Amino acid sequence: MNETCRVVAASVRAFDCAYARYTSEPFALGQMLAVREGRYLTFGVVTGSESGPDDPSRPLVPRGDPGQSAAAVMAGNPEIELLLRTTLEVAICGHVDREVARPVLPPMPPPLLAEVHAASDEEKVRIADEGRFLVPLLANPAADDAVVAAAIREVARAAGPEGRPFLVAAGKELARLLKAEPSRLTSILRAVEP
Amino acid sequence: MSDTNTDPARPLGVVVGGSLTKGLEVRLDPGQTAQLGQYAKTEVEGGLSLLGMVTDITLKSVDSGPTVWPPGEADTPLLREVLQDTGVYTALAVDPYLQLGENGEEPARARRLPSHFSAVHPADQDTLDRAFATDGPSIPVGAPLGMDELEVGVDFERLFERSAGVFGKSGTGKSVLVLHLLDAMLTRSAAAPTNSERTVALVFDMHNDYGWEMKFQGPTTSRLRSLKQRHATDAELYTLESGAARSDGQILIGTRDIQPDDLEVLRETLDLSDLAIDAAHACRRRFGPGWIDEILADEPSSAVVDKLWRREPPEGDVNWSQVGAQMGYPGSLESLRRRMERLTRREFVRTEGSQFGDVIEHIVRSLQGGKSVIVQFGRFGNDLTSYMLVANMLSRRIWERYRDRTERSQEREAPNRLVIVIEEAHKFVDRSLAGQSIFGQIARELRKFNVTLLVIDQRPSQIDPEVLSQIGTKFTLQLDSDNDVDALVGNVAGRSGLRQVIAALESKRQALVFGHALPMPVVVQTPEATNADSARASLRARLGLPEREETSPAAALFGAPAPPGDGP
Repeated sequence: MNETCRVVAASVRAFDCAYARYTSEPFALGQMLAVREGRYLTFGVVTGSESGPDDPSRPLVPRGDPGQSAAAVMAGNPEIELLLRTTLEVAICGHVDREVARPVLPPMPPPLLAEVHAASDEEKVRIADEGRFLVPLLANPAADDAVVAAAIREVARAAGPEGRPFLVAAGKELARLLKAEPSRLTSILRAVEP
Repeated sequence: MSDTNTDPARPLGVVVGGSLTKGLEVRLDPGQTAQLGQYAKTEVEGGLSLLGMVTDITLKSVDSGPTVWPPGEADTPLLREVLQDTGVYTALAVDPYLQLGENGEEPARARRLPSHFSAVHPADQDTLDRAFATDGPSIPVGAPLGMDELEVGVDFERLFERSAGVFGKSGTGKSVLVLHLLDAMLTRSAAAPTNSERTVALVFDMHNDYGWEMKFQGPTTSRLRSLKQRHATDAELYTLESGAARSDGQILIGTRDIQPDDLEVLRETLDLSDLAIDAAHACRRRFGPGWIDEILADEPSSAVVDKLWRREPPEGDVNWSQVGAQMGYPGSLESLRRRMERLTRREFVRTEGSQFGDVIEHIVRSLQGGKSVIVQFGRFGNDLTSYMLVANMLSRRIWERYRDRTERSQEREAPNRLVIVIEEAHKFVDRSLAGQSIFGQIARELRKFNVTLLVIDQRPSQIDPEVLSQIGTKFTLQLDSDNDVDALVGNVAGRSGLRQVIAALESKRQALVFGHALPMPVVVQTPEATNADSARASLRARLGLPEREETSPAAALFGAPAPPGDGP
């Protein structure tokens, strides 16, 4: 996926980012993203992803012959891609201030139109800080169980051999945060390690 | 638990609640383990350390969630792992006992509480040394639970200045522990400059454990050198059997030596009724010191008849029924006669004479001369009547000698300290006998006459509570009955915790030691039964004595051999 994604709306809790056009392989749900511009490096987790026409009053009409793949239909109708766009919703879960990773909300939103990238494995592990990144993440209503589970899984994978200890530490952090919601805790942890 | 954390640098957990009277609640850190009886320390304000003992371990949940929605068998291991120490956790109950200062102040009873979230660590040797520091020598009693490399000692002087007890069910290691204590006593006493400074033991050795050798079931050693082998010149061995090997003398009792008071403790074993005891007193009053010989005769002697019917003797031959009726004990005298016949059938009881005076004289001379005396019962060890008769008679008379000497003497002439060692103590000092038994009296009088007890027993609940309360230091091995445990912890501070600790003791070589000689209770792995010289060297070091080279009997007689090449 070589398309550039940029911040199109931002607050200190969340930002929206969009590709210049439609992409069939955007950043995944729960993936940790980085905005490396502005005074602070801002990190967030994808909580939503949407593709559709730029103009809601002009909905996409189904095209293509029976048995034709989506890619083939797109290739046969290149004008359609110009009218479509993929946008993402991102919940902010931490920032880096003068090289210090902090799993808390940044003092200011990321700059509009700043490029959005996938966070590196090292960045993911630093920001996740043994599960503390779950505090700002869970504070965001958009971060549902699937998002939280996917985010934890993603960081565990990035941690490599330290993945299991991270899972346990993040799980304990989650248990503290969700002590009033044991059933939610259970369902998230079941989703983390099915 | 063998993997109990004893690394003082690694915290066991943090204080999350508690009180001085009910103990501290410590939340165990993830991955940590602890066990009942383990020592733990924490810091309190003013640079003080608080030393306590783990007296309970409980599983708790933060709220009802994890217990309402517990992870099932099919759940991922992660869920269980996460809930540990978050939704659920392990809590330690730690009873704080001592407050330790940094600058060598005396340990004091814990009077302050640590703040919330104070780290709790396993105690280290330095802390234990400060807590159990003694002014004089101490006897090592083993390693605190889970701290195999550490060692705790009890204050030698305080241990024997009041009565002590070793309690535990059969096979828990009572005898080996007692041998260890007596070995320490004799080792220390041998180094005392004068006899009056020596502490000596009078051991009533029911099962032939403390004389020449102790036989026991152990992993390596089946015979342990006992006191006579270890302290040949400081211990004397008496037996009830004639011709016993290695004996320094035989205990003989003449029928004239037995007083009605001596029969009081035999009520149960001889099945003597109150009336039979009264009859014995009446016989002693009427017939004099030879009363037993008189009533053992087939027919009443003329002397008996004369004493009972001074003016009007009955016509014809007088029989014992008539004597009993005349004395006011028609059936009881017959009953007493039968029991006296049974009693005097024993090899060591001699009729028509007094034998005991010489024995007593000899034993007292040995004891006050600084030697310990072991009375071995040989084949009479399984005969409780013999054991109780001899132990009671000897102890009563020796105690009277000590009492007389103490009352007559100036302080500098007071007799040395005597510790009387009795087994099956509850038979001597149960609720009905404690008033009459000499042992009840010795326990109650504390150290007034320089005589104390070391009691060994399996059923402490049967011992008179007043006597038990006078036992200063208690070594408690595993006990089965709740009544026995309750009797021992009695009104001791923190008794509910101690009860839990005793209940969790292992079946062998694990003891809770508490009372007069220790500043706080301690659960120890008691010393192993061994003949090893290294153990003896360690004991001497702990007792504050220099290492002594063992002298072989040949070397003692002929001197040490000259080193090679040192000849003419």
